[in-house]
Amino acid sequence: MLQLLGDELIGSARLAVFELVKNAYDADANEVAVCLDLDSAREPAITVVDDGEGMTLDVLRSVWLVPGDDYRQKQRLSGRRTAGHGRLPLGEKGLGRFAAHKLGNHITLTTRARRSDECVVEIDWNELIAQPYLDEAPVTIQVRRPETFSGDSTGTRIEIRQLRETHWPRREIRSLHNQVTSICSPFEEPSGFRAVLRVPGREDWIADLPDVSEIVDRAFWKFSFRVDNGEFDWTYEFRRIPGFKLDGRVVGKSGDRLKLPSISGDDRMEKKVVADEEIFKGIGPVSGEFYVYDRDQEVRRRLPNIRLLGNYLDETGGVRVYRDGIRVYNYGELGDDWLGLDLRRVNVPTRRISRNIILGAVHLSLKDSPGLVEKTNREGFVENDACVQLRRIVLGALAALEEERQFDKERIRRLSEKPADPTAAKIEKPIQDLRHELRKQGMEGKFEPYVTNIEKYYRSMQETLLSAGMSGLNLAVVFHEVERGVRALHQVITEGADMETAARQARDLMHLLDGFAALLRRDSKKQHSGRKLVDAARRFNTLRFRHHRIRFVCPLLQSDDDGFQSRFAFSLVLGSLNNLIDNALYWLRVRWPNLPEESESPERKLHIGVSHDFEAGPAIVIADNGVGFQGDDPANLVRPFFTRKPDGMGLGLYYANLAMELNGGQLAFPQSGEVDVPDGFDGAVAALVFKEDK
Amino acid sequence: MLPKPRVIAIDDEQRHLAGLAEALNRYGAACLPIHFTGEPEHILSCPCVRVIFADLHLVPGVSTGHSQHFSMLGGLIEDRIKPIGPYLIILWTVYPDQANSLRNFLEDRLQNVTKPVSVKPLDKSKYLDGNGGVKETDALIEAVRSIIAGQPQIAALFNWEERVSDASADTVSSILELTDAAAEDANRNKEIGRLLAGFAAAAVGGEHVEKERFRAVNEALLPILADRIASMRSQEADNELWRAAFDKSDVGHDPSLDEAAKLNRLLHIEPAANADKGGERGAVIPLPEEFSGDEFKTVFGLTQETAVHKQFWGKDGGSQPCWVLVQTQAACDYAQRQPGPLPFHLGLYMPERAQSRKGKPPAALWRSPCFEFEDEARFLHVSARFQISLPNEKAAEIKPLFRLREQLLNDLIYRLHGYGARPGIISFRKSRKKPKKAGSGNI
Repeated sequence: MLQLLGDELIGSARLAVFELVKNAYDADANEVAVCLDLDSAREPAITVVDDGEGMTLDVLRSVWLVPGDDYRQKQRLSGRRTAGHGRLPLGEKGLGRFAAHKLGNHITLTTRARRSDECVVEIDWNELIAQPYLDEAPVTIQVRRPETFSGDSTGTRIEIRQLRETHWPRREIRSLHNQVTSICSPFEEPSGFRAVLRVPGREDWIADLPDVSEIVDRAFWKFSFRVDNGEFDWTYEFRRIPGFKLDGRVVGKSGDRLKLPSISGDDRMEKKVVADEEIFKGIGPVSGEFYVYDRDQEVRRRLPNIRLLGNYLDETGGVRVYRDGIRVYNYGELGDDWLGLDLRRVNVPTRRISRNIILGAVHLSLKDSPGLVEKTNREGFVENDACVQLRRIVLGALAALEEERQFDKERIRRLSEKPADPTAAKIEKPIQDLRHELRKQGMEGKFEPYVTNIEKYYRSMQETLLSAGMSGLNLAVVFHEVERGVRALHQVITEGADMETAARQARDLMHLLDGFAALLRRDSKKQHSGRKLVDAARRFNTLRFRHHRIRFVCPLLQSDDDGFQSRFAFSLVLGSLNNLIDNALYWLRVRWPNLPEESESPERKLHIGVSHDFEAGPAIVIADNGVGFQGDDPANLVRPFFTRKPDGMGLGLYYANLAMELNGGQLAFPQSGEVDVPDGFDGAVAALVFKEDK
Repeated sequence: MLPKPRVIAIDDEQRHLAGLAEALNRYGAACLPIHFTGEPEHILSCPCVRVIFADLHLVPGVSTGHSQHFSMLGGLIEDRIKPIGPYLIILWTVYPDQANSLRNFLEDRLQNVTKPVSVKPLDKSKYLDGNGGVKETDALIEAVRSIIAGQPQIAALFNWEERVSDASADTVSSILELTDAAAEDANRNKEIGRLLAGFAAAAVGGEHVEKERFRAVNEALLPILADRIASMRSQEADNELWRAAFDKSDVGHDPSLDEAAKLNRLLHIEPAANADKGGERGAVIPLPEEFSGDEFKTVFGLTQETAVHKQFWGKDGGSQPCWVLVQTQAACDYAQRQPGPLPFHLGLYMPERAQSRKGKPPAALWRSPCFEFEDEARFLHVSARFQISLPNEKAAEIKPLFRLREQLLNDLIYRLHGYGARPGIISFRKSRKKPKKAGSGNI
């Protein structure tokens, strides 16, 4: 039973070492040294030595030797901090000592508290588990004059022999080193705590491991943030990339709104699209740093020593969580994608940041985050509401980074990429690889309908472009992105991603292509009135206007006027108008996050009118009183994959523009004063300009 | 004029729609396929729809968020289809996992129309081939069958509705059988017309037909239809469906007062919206002001308090009495719109707690079963002793609270007339007093 407890509660030998290091932190130590002595000439041993406060005989007896004791938890709940460093204890369930047993069968613990004798405990796990009752277990405590901790020194030394794992290959040792050294945040060290790993005789195994500070220096992007009670302060830095003639760029904002991504996919679950005080309940302030790299072929080509960096990122990339400066496992470990970074990348690979290009740290305060409870097996927080909200907050901050980063990515793309011919892109190989992997994993049936359609739509789009001479439609980026998306899907499936989520991503990729394929199929154009289009949009969006309390202002529908007549494919243009309404609803909710009472006059307003002020033809003008386009260049707004929404794909306006172009019109973004919009609509203004029906 | 469709399928992809519609037709369901082009006028109101097969993405686009598409479907239902009865949505999509979210969305946001009983997914990707055609129609039919069978209660109700509809079709056929099928169209149509006129006149009397032709014919056909509905029996093919619809243990379940009140409202009470004139037979109208307050005693001969307590079996000191009048005209007089003032009986409706518990209710009192009204279980007490008349025009101006449906109304009228018609006879009885004990002396 005891052995089982040790095995079940501590997930891996590496986590066991981490638990012992955490014990040292709780004991107010300045330093903890872990020594993994695997020299074949001696008996292999793991030694963990700290210079903390040590234990008196009494504490040893009543706390350390009692499994599941809640001494630390009580200390934490009462807010009692350690005398030296003022730390709140990290341990809460009295399970740290099982960690030693996870590592080996024979334990010698030597400890000395201030002004006390030294205590030595010998535990033989094999003898211990042979006893039917724990209280009959033979544990001898020897009290002696200080030998290990002489003079005024205090601390605890744990020596573990008869190791359960005696074969530690190079790779494992390197991982352990990374883990031990990453126990403390590299960016925000807890005052005076340091953890070191020594492997006598095998120093060369870890000698070449890069120092974290060197690695972060090589990042192209640095993003720091702090968010508390809805106030979002951030700084974005784009550094110069060797070999590219691009200036660095630093931007930042204080008191910004943190836009939250949707997690459930169900709109009802996320009533608010920006973070407010309520979201931070049980979480407290969240701050962090993200260091982001670029591993695109064109960039890689120009960088020195890229392999070392690549290997490091492959192994340690991700976003870690630190509470009071100490790591919360398993977040950010290899194989743990707690933010779903790799999967969310499938549909927008260029813009989204995957784990292997980011080193990130998120900092929490132990005192302010009681809602985040660590799991007993030390594999993250219990999946409660606070944990879900933490994910949204971190993804929201990451989206803010991606939002800024897209401008610099575009600058890099312009310098590095050759103009691509959309009809030359090849999907065969990525699809073939994906199919092969799916077959290998027995998942062919689940994915096949999506894979078949992705391939089919991709080809049919290429054919249409070729045959109809539409290669000027700037779809190359979309083709390229889909190709990369298929490769990203292949990769996450190979790495053992959750199949349900991966299937959803495959389906979304298929839907994306289907959307473009439908666009190119070009529905038959007929003559319609502007009024009919606006009326359809109103009817089909009524439920949303009502739910989000949007005041819909449309003088056209209150008159008998038809607005104008034009020939266009009705459903395509209706889709475009829906996209604009969708955007307006989102940005209205960002600017006016609180739903007004039913009795109150709605603050959120949307206007749809007809304008004849455009030279090209009549237009439907959509104006709102949301946050507006934030100074974005119209060329950027219709660029594929450009978005400022945290979980948008950046295709809504691009698609709307394409649809209008295919109908002989365009999507325009008039400046204030260029078109007539009633007072009070000071947010975004967009116009669907139609071809004049002559 | 033609029967409204019960099953509709909506899709913006013509091939997907055609494949589904064909499968549904082979399944035996007459399906109205709607090719969605975004133009609202292409979709007509289908208030009696029972199953809507709907694609999730009706307008081309690339957004992966779904609320835009949910809103589109919701708008279609609320603004165009306007269902009034129970219906099932079968989400015909490559996003089957969105069925629950759609249901929640519609449950939250639909207004002024009935909400779907359930939203079930039907995964397109399983049944469509690479070109958008149906791979195996039989598999698709089986999937539809299995979805319907997965809702046995709804399926049973739909089955009953279909059988009733068959019964009405049978009623119409039996009328047509009375005419000469071999006759030319024009002659036969004329003959049918004469037959309908005959039915109408027989039901309400020739001179009353013109007042409301539909009603007159309806009065005549009702017994024929009622008989056909009453004689409907289990059909072997449907037995399994009915077996799955409820458990044997549900049969003995006694409903609570609130449940009973809801069920009785369904059975016996027609909402005011459908009974818009106070002169309708069975209409329950508020007691007009001229009979209320101080006038109550003048009209009815006793105070309201006494009436509540002594005649209507209400509690002393109960809540403010709710006096009503119930239109109790004879059925044939009503059908024939016979002249003369309309008869009304005085009634009192009250919540359960306001009913008296003391002694026996007066013999002249009729008490309704409990029924839900204004969100509370209530009872209506009507006394045979308190009757007044109102001119038709005046009654027609009063907005009724509700109307008693036929079965309950007949029970009330039977009791009222039974009370009025009970014979009283003169008779002598043996005295029950004990004779005085005789004295010892002689008189």
